[in-house]
Amino acid sequence: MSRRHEDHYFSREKWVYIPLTLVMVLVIGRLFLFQVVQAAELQAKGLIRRTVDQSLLPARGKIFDSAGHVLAQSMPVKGVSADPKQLAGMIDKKQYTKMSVQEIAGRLAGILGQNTQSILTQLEKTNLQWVSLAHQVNIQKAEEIARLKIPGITFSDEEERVYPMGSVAASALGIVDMAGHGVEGIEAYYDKDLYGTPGFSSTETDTGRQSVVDASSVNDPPIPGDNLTLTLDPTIQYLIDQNLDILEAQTKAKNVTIIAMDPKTGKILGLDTRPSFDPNHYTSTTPEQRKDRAISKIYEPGSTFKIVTGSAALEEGTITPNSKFNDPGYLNVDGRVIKNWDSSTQPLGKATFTQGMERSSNVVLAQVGLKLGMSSFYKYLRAFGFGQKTGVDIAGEESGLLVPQDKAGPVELATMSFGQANMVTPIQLLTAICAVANGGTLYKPYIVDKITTPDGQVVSRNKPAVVRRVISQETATEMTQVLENVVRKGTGYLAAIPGINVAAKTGTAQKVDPKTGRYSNKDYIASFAAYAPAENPKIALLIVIDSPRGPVHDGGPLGGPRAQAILEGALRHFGVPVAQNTQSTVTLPGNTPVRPSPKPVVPQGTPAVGETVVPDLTGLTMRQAGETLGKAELHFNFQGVGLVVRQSPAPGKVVPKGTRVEVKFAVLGQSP
Amino acid sequence: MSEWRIFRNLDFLFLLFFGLLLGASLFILSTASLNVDPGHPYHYVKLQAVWIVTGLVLVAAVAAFDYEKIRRFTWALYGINLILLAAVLFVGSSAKGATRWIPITSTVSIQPSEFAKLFIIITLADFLAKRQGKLNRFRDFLAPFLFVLVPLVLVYKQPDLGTSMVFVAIFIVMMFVAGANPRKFGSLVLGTVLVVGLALWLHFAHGLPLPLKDYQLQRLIIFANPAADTTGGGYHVTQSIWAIGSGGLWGKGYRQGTQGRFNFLPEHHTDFIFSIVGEEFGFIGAVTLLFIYLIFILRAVGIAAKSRDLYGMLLSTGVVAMFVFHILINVGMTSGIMPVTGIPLPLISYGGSTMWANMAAAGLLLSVNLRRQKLLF
Repeated sequence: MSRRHEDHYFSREKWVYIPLTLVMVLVIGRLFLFQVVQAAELQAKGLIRRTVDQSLLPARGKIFDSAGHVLAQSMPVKGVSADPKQLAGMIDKKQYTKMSVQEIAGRLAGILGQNTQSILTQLEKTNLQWVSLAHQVNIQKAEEIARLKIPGITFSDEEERVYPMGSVAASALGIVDMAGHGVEGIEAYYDKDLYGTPGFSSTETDTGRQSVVDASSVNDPPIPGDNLTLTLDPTIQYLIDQNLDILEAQTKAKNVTIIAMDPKTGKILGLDTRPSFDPNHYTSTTPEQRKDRAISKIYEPGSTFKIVTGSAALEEGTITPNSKFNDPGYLNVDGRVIKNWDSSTQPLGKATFTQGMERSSNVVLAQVGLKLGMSSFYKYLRAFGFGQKTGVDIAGEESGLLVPQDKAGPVELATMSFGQANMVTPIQLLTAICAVANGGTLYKPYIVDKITTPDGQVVSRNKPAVVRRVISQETATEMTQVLENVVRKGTGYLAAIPGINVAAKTGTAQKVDPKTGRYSNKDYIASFAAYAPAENPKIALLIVIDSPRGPVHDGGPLGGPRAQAILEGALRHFGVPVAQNTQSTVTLPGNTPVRPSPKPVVPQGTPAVGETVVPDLTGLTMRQAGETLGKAELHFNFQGVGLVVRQSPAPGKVVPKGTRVEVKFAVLGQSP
Repeated sequence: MSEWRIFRNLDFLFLLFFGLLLGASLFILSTASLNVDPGHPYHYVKLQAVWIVTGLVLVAAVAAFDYEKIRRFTWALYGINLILLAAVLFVGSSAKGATRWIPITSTVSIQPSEFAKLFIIITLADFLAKRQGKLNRFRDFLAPFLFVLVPLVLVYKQPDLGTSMVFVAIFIVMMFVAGANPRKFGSLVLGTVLVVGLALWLHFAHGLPLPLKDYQLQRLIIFANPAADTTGGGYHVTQSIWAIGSGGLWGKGYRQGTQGRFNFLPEHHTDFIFSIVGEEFGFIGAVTLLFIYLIFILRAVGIAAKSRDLYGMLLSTGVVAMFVFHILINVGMTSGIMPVTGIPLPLISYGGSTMWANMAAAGLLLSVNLRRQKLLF
């Protein structure tokens, strides 16, 4: 009965089994194709899709000063980018429904501290597969973004370079670009050491490109960069920065640079420049603002260069420290008249080379140079390293600019001899002066003492590198004695330190006015070179003040006190005994004409409206005195010629504006 | 008690394979749903267990109920079905471009289209049984067609092309079983298939407008050539094929798969769960699961064959058709032989509505099975 029953209602059994069998064969055949025939190929395709290959940024090395303080270090941060095409696609196809593009932009802007609209603008570039949303995002914020699991958002390793000391030596340290490479300064010069070796990872990721924990991955970890220890002495660097600040405030100069070296090794003990910048926020600065003037400023050195001319002549034996010259205040060379640095001072008349240096006589030095001769002058110019880079280990060094020897005639030789016409860099000039200071050997300057691995193993160490012997020990000693006299009796007297022999040379160079191509009588470069103790120098320094604004533009009065302060502080730091209370014990030789300079005035009282404080005019020229009084809104009555020796009312008196000030001028060394 | 005598009829092999499928569901979900709710790896397994346990009560209740008595409620059930499907269109919540859910609470919602298949089977069985022997002319096909068309349109509107296709399959199978003239009905079906095929060809070749959503057409294109767009619309299929293919003969092993775990494969605990089986258990595992289904289906066909009346046979063949087409469409979709239509793998995929609907369908089969012979008193 059952059989018949089935036949009645279900006579189409084959219509059940045939399609079922066909379906099974079809499906199993398909699975067989994928899982057996094409398995290897499909597996590889899946792997390619899932793995994200990336280069891993190594941790950049740190930079320490000689005492081990951190000057530069890196913190890992992230770059954030998006795939607007993928995101838009997934939102359109409803594969991603958690947030709209607007909401995503809002959330990201909130975390990144950016404008929602600007993020939205980026995300709406839906024809692009990669747009950058932010750089230098700290790790916490990046993780916060990663947790949102927004499709197409990716992160790249970046580093934030942090300079804990701010602007200290910033121009020398340089900067690091977003890719983690040093592009200026020491960061650039030692980039291959600091950068390290990038790693490589091939990571399995999920659709959010988040790396998957415990997933198989190829990993070639990055090797962190090596650390640098600089020769920079924090105490001397501090003194330099402190005195730069004083000079910057006092002179309102266009820029000021100080560099200090160990004359016996070429180690740079400190260097900096004003205006400075904060390397932690360098993106808002220009390359010009970041320029390391200590190695790249090219300028006509003026009288500080006389050290070089003098040393060459002494070495060649064309002069001795006591060779006699005539200085009538001018010198006629091939029809051109050469004048002294300050024509308002009295001509020296008959003077020795030493006296010419003490008073910084252009006329004397022009004669020294002419006597030395063109080929010898150029020989020493090159021997002292001018016209070529010193090779200091900081990126961005300039080589200066020499008048080509075949274009130089007697006029050029004469002017070059007292520091005009040729262009030098501060580090070139100081390196040359160090050769005089240390007994005649030119060392290559350097700022990196050693390179160490992150765990402290020394990779390499820079040793003092002798470039060549330039002058003999005797010549060096003679020249040093001349320079001691510059401090003892001459223009460098403000750098004197009791109980210490300081060697120095002042410089005041007129700048060439770029408009007229002639020397400006308004813009000067005041400079001061010094080293101490003269017989066994521990430190040599050079101060360069570009375009000081104020009544004083001379290297002696501007640079002297600063050089004195740095030298004295440095010598104390090095344990060289220095007499106490130096300010009041600076002795001025009574019978030596030394150009005095105005002192800051202590006002007698607070000036009321319509009143003013009488400035100190001591030592100023007539023009300078006139400018100074004009600024103070005072009238004047001048008497005599030369420099200011007396004034009435006295400095510091509070007087009504428009009061007539009686000013007496006299030639230095003569009693008025 | 005489009532218990019917248990002698029980098909234990059917019951065994039904149980195997439910167990397999929990086992597969324990790897497939591992990363769906990060931090709660067993969340979906636990929920599925709740659906299965409550579903077993439903199976027992339906099996114990004499299916003949359902016939009294045919039009009521038909009405409820339409109301639920219409409700989806008005109060439904959307996910991924389609409105298929009626929210009950903030976290629980039901998917009426899953139950609609069952309602169609139950009501169409009665509708056709009453027309036994009266399905010989073309015009006789119209009433049953309209009977199915109304709920079908509502489902299609959601839009849910996959479920609509299952409706059509159920309709065709049940029509044949009900005794529709094979020559006439067969040629009608074949003719329709040809017309639809021609319409699609005209659409793609000559831009004939079709009442299909862009994404549905897109899926048809991708179905034809999944490699055309591996990151966009072809993403699902491509990722699924890579998952299955990378499993190889023996699979990567339990919880060793990567396509699902790293979220490359979308919907890997629901619609694309078969890809996980393919990836982690390989060809052997996938074929094993298919054979479990095959035996389950063959036993169900056996139950249908032994049903005591046409109504019971229509019920059970409707259920069989539903299962077979569900499995075919789902497995076909994951392996690229069918367009992506987003329907779950019956009794395996995660989901309360689908699990309950399919378990109730199995209960219906058991009800038919238990009452396969007229009791002699």
